[in-house]
Amino acid sequence: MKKVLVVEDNSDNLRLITYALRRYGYEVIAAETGMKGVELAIAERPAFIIMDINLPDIDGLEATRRIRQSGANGDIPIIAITSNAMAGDMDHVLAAGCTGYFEKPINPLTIIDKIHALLGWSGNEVRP
Amino acid sequence: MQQERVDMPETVTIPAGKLVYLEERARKLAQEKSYLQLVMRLINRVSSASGLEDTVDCMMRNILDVVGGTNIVLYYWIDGDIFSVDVYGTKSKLDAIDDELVQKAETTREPIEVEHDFSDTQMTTLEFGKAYTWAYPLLVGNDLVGVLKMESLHIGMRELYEQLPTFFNYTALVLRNEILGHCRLKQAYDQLNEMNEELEVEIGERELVEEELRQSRDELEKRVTERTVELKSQRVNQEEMIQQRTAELLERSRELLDNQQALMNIVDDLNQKTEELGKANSKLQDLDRLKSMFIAAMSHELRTPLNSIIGFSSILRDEWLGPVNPEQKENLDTIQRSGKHLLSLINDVIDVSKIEAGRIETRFEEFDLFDLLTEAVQYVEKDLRDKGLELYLKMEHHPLYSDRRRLLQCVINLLSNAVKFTEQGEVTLSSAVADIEQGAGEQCPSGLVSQQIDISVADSGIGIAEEDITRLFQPFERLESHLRTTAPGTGLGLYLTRKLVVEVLRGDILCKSKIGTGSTFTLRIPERI
Repeated sequence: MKKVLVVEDNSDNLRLITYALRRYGYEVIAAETGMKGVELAIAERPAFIIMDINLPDIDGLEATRRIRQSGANGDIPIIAITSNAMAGDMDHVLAAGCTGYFEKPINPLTIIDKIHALLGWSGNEVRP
Repeated sequence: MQQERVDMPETVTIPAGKLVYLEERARKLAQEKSYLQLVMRLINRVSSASGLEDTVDCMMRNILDVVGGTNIVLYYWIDGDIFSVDVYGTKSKLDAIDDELVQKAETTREPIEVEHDFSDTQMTTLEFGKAYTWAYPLLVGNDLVGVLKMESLHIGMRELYEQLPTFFNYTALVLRNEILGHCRLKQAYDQLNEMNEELEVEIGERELVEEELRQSRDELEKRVTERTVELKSQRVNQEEMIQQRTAELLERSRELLDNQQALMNIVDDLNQKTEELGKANSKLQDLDRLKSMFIAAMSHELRTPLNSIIGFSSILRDEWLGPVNPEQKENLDTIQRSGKHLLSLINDVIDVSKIEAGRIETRFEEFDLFDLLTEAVQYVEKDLRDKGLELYLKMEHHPLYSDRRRLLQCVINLLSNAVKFTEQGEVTLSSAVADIEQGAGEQCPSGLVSQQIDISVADSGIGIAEEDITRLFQPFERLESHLRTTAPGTGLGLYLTRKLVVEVLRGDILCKSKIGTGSTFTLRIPERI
């Protein structure tokens, strides 16, 4: 079972994403702060990371930069979750090292398809 | 008697004859003496007169007085004119001498005596039975001065006859002198008269000239007076005008001063207002910043819980966590639909407020139109299916450079509307290069000629009345229809879409519709911004 790291401080969102990921057969590791996210990313080596941008300590961009700088798993896909209000910052998201992003709101029914599309994976590969 | 007494001492004897002779001679001498005395008296009397008329008058009266007779007429010549004057003072000028006797005396220059009866007198005595009429020429040398005719002289006067020539000679001299004097006087008088006439003529002329001058002067004075009056009135008028004008100017000046003051006040007010406006503006900018921050915060804060509502209700409804009965499913649908509605409302409000604040962020990028339309369709596919509507796609691949996200938003909006307001039939999504006149393409900033791309969404829905089409793009305008209550909508959809198309995509939105038949909305945007 592939591990996915979700860095999200909002527990409702985390649960929603977790439902969706689990439904697609992923094992979810959660981190509620940026620092914890960086730590787990290096320690757990997930298949990919879902990274919220608004986080209480370091933001998702900083966390992404640190994960990339760690060298341990520099090529790990990182998908950013952005809010519509921050639409102007997309370039920063990509510049920070994110593989791709999707915008809130999170639709549990379609989120995994979107992620797979972003990763270039075919849906069947992982669909349970 | 006296002489006799003187002669007395000589006692002489005188013969009688001689005595008679002597006596006669003495008587005669005495008579002559008295006659001479008469003549002398005449001469004295006549001498006392002066002037022709006086002299003649005096002469006539004294001759009659001394000589007697019934009448005395004097004829005399002055410069060839014949005049006659009688003792009664009747004086006349004659054309010719009307008396034979006088004519004769004039011709002969000799005195003529005629003896005749006193037939025409009352004298009846013999002694006075005879009378004489004398015509006596008055001569000075050979010059005839006049003729004196004395009519019906008393016979006793006959004796005086011899003594008269002396008197008449003197008379002639006096008369001639008087006539000459008269003539000289007359001449002088005539000359004077002439001169006088000349003078009078001259005076007349001068008076005429004077009159003319006076008239001219009067005319001039009149004109001067008139002109003076005129000028005076003009001056008065001018003065009035000047006063009026001055008053007007003063008034104007006051007004100008007032205006200037007012203007200065206005300027002051304006400065104050400008300052106030500056303050208000910076306040507004602060408020605007606050508003933007508020909207950004609100969008985040509102959407996070909405995410949960929509997300968890959809998990439940899709039975991820176990089966739900139909009633539960319907309730979950309602929760989900309401959540989505609220979310779209919030999103629209945020977008509209951003556009109206000029703060909408744009992101232009290269993308394929076909891919974008495909993505848009995915958003409405489920609703289309649920409503059993057919979807026709007439799309082409076409590279675009625009704001992909906003274009997608617009197309989804139009598709959502089409699905919302169509009960049965189909929805058609099509794209094409706009069928507009050649050369109408706009120059885009990149220097390439940009074509216009039409993206049309047609439906077979309820349609829109022509008069309502303009209202479509007003905010919070929802047209009356039986779908109004059931079709979800914020009333901002088309308003926002149009705003996005015009202000972000630099295009326009067109609408063709027929009530009961369907509507076609077309986005016409430049292929490259």
